[in-house]
Amino acid sequence: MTDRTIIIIGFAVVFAAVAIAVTYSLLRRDRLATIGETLAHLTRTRTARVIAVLIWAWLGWHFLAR
Amino acid sequence: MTLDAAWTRILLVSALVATALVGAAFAPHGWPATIAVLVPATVVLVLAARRPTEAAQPSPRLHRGVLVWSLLVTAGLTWEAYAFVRQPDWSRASYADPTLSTLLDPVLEHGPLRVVGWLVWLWAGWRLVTR
Repeated sequence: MTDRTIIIIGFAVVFAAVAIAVTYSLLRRDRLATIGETLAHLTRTRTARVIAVLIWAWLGWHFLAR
Repeated sequence: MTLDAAWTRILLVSALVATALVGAAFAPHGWPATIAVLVPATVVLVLAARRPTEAAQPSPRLHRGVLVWSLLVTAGLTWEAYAFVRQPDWSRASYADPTLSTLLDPVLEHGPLRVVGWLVWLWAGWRLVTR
């Protein structure tokens, strides 16, 4: 197995775990907050919100413009 | 939903789609694409800075959410860092040890999926300041 394959499998495992967590949070809202609710909770202060927006802006530049 | 709210939503979606189409029209690795990212980023940053701090309403499900999503983000970032440090030259993308951006580059460089990438990014930014 090549390094490339191992790295791609690693990303696939992380994305599969995210997909499972998203599904679970949507089906059992009483047990687990969705990613949107969690993000809204973490960014309720102005400082945290600005930091989150700066990270979002960097991601946009990195993936779409760089 | 009132008529005003419906029109506001239609205008917002139209603006997001138009911005995505304009942004996707610029090829990556250039100043036009960078400016196309900077314009909506500045708008969202201003909206984020103007919005006041909200009171916390903690609950067990929210605590579990913070734990689970933090663990998943950490796992993703750790794997990205692993792929990044394995690259022979950190300033150049490696086929053998691809980072997430190396894997997504062919998809996001041109074509309809570039527009989808723009739409997802713009929608995420809008949600950051409107939730």
